[in-house]
Amino acid sequence: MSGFLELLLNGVTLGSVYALVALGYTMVYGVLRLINFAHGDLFALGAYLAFSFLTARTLAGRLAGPAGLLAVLLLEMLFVALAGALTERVAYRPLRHSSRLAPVVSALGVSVFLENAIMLVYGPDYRVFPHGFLPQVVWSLGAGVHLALVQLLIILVSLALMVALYLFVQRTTVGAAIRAVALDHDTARLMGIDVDRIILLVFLVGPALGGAAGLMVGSYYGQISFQMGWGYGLKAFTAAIIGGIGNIPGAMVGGLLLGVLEALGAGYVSSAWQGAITFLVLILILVVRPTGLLGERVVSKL
Amino acid sequence: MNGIRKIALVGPLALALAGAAACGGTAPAGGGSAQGGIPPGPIKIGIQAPLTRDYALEGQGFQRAIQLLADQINARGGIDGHTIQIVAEDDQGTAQQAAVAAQRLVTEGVVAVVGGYNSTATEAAQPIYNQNKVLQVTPASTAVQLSQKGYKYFFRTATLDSAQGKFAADLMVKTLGFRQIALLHDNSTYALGLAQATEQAVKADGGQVVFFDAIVPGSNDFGAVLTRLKAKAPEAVYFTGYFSDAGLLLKQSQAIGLKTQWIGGDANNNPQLIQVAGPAAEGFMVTTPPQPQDLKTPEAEKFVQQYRQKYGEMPPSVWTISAADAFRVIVDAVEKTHSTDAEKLAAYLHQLKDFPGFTGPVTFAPNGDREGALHKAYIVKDGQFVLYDRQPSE
Amino acid sequence: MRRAWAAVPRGRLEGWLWLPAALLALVLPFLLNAYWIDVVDVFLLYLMAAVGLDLMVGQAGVYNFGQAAFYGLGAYAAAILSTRLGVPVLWTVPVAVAVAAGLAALATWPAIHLRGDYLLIVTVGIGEIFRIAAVNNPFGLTGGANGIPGVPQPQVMGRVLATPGQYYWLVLAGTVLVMLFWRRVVDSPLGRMWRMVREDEEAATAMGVDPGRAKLLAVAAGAGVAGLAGALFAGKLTIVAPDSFTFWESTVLFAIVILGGPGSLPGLVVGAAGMQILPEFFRDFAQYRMVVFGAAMVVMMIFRPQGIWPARPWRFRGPAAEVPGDRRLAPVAGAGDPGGRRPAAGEELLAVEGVGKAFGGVLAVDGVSFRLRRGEILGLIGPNGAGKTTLFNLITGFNRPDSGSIRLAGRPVAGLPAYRVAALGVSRTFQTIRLFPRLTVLENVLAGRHRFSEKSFWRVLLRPRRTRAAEARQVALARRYLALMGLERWEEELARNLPYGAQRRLEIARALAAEPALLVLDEPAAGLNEQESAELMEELRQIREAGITLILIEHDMSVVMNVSDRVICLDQGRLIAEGTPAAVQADPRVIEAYLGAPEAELSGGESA
Repeated sequence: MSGFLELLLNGVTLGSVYALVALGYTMVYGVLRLINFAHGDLFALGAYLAFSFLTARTLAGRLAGPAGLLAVLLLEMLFVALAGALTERVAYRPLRHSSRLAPVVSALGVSVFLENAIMLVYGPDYRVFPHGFLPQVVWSLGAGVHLALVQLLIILVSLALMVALYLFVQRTTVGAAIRAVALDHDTARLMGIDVDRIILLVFLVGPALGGAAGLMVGSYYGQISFQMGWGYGLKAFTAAIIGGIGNIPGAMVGGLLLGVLEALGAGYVSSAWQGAITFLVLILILVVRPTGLLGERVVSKL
Repeated sequence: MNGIRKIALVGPLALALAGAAACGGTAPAGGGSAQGGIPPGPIKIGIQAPLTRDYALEGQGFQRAIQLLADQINARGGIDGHTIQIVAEDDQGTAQQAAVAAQRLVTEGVVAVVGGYNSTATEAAQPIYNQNKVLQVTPASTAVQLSQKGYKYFFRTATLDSAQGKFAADLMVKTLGFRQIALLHDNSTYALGLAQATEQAVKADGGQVVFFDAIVPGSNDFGAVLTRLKAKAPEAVYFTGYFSDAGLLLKQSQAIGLKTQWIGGDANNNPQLIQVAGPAAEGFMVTTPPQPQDLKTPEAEKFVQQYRQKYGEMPPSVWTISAADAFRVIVDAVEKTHSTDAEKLAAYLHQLKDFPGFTGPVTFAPNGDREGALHKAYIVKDGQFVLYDRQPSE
Repeated sequence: MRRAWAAVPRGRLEGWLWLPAALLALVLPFLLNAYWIDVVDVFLLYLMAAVGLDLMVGQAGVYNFGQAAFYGLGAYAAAILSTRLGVPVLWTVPVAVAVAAGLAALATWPAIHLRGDYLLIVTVGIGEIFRIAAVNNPFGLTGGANGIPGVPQPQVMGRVLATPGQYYWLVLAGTVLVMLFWRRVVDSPLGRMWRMVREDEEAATAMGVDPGRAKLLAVAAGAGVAGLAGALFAGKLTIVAPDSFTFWESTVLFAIVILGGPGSLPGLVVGAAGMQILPEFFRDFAQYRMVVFGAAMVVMMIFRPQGIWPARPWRFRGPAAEVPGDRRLAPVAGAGDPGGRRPAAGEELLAVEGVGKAFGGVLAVDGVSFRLRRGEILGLIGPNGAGKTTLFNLITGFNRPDSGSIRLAGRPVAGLPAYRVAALGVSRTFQTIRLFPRLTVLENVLAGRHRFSEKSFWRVLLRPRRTRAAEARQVALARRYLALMGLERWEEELARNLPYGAQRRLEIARALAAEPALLVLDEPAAGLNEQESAELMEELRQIREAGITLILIEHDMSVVMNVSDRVICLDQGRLIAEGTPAAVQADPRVIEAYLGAPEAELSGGESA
């Protein structure tokens, strides 16, 4: 039982990270019907930028404590958001009106570019993420279950970001504009919405969330690698699909579910087969619910 | 960029190596004229390694180590007046790219190749080098079958999975007296191969393999697999993957209160592991060829120091050092035979005895495998890898 | 520059393209060194796998991101057979093809009904499951992460193919074979079936296509081609290991198809060159190579979003057959009749009994019963939201009724899938036009004739004289339907480029081409101007003269009253009136339904 709870807790932590990254996939998909294969690499970029800020000599010492960490988080999210917007301008906007698959390949190109650019700048080896800027607190919850401060922070910050995003999309006028663009570009345009600006906004918000997840992964596990974007990206995209792509609460549910599923699969079956189990469950879910758990039953216009 | 500083740094070693060459009995002739069997122009030596994608870390390590050594040799005038030119080709760690890279190196006219990294890439390239009479020395491919095909020009400075597997099994079962052994790998060619070899050896020694599974490398969260491992209560866990995962394994293992003897394969002999794991690394053991710092030879110490100075970090893995040795035996063969003919180079390497490699004495078996018991057991004490006082007997 | 390019009749250009390409292929090994020949060998292997992938992506619209797995299946099959049982590699090819095709179809089968991107992630999953399985060495079959070494190099006529130059001829032969296969299938009715599914699954279903089976066939065919490439891969590299078949390789293959131009053979060649030969030029950049390559991918895509060498529309080649008969709509009803015989007019064709259907608690159709005799034209009217289209969907099998029965010529059809109903001779149009937009006008009508087209994979492949003659006959008949609807001058135009009225007529022509026993038209006059409406009425009368039974939904009362023999009226899912046009028009309940409805809707809207 304690093993189970421990696994569950690990799964929820990992799942919050997946959920944050999945939001970027799902938002972009919502407005453009595009699988942004470069999103995972933007997440990795976030981790590396945070690494740079935390190790930069001029900043060292001033960033101790939660306030400093929050500053790094915001700064890094800002940069990743700008990088996301840049990819939209350069690689996707020129393909807005071509076939659906052209931007997918363009996104693959951006992904290859970003991943290898990170490798060139930071080197091909693992980077040890600076630690010590957070107190190493571990609470014992009884029955052999432990919760680390960093885990709690990841879960709470992810939750806060997700709730903020949800309220932003559901309650504000800009959010309404995003939803309108997701439904139909032409109609949204007729309603006086600047579709290009909304899409740009989505490409700021989604990558920013992914960038936040990058910092979390770095500080939780203590090391980052230039390829982390590909693996986490694929997982997060899977999470978005499980939840129903294009659906914001769906990405959150899908992320958490996938995280828990992976932890339990590795814990009770085999970690060598972990990825295979994950995808098998994904296929089973889709066979039963063809548009994901919370997906709408709409015919995708291909 | 910093070529001048680089040359200034390598001065002492260049002298030492020049001295060694002089001992061989021939004085290098001045000028660029052809000497002996070496055709005019630079001597091209190839590197076939993953410079991008999954194993880029290792491939770039090869490239850096070898470039460093080549620059030193060229700074002292090359071999018999010929400079060494390094040609590095990216094989991305896959068979299909390895074949293309090998073919390209052959057309570039390399006389010998260091590479590849993973056994599959090495294997796909083997027939191409063999057909074209190019010497191949792999520093890292440990799969047993590579030397079973009768390729005359194939050598390796890497040790075989079977040798290290046997050593690890002897250490755990015979020396330490454990019976319940867990094996953990990361599904990479190398780690799985070593884990499988160890499994056989453990059984042969009368031990029992109670757990055999993989982690997903780079996935960072091993709580799940460790929880399952804990349920099996192994006396020792032999992890054959990389230090980058091992640090976290140790840390998370301690966090969930798993009490067992952790032992790592030779890809774990890296100080970064101790940095990541912190106190959890204490008592961790590795099976590895003796490290440069333990060989206490001036060349080896100097090499690591120079590497660190030039690139700002430690060599990423034991394979980097092994690649340096592969390059050095090739250079030694060319120097001693005054030839770039693969036939002569291979013949020279076959009769080579106890070449002073960074990773220990280098001697090749008739099939090109590296001979001799290489491995030692190390243990982490006070945040340092130190030689363990009880080594398995031969 | 661009204009000059466009001025060349590309069809003619491509028709002759094979000649210089063949010449180049023949002299190539004498011009290149071993390294470049090896690059070309690998390029051809990828090209083969991409040609297979195009059958899925470019033809059937199955976005497969797991093609490397199917490629790998072939490679593993060849490696296992040759190393374990000593079968020469070339003899393993048929097994490799069968294993790849069979397992691909089996793995995709449970998910084949998923739409676009959901199916895409499933193929990613299949690819990953394959790779992970290969790494874990199930039953000691795959050799784990180290793979299977020591695959013997193939021998041809006693000679071992050891050098890239020797192997070149083998992969070239494989590539030519695969391209011929591609061409044969893509040009056939099977290829058309795939394109129909790609363009519009619902419309394809209405023509009698089972989209799931069609897509599975495409997956099997494309995977089989990849399996062939995989077997040749094994023989060339002599080692088969999981690292060669990763998600990355799948994305490379996908990029080849999209970059080159889906559905275009020259496009695939150019795409494969872009993904496999271009990076070789970046080799000197060493570790910078992939950065340059990533940027190059983006640039190429932006420069030619439709692909470097996009596909051109299908075109009928060869002589059209002579079909006896005149240009009028022949009395064809009955040719495809569910009874299989020429029935007498006046006999009962359709019997709808107490049919009901609810969507989320709202009764869209509520206990509707009516009958239809052969040769009759029945008008179906009712205010918006009365359930008319739902009733159509129930009759044509697009929705399953909750209650009641539907009989077609005495045979129960309620609950049958739509493609089965269509195959029984029920043909329909849609309220919003659903043509196959990127197929030509002629091909749209041929799509309507799917019921009568060749469906046997083997006959398509071998294409005996009889099959060829049948194809020519289908084209001739399709042209007759085009002429009937006055569309013959648009024959080679893409359907999406037609003006609105012509699109409506094309949809009817397509439905007629199925030689239906029962034709179901959903608002055929919607959006037409007065003159077009008048023409439509004339055409509807011709349809009736031909003996085709017809139901139509129409808001244009002049059309309904003019052509219908009988009219039924629905309101809120219930049948409220039935009789002659004049009688129904005068029925107070009908008038109330039409007049009352907007008010009711308005008040409903306010209270909600």
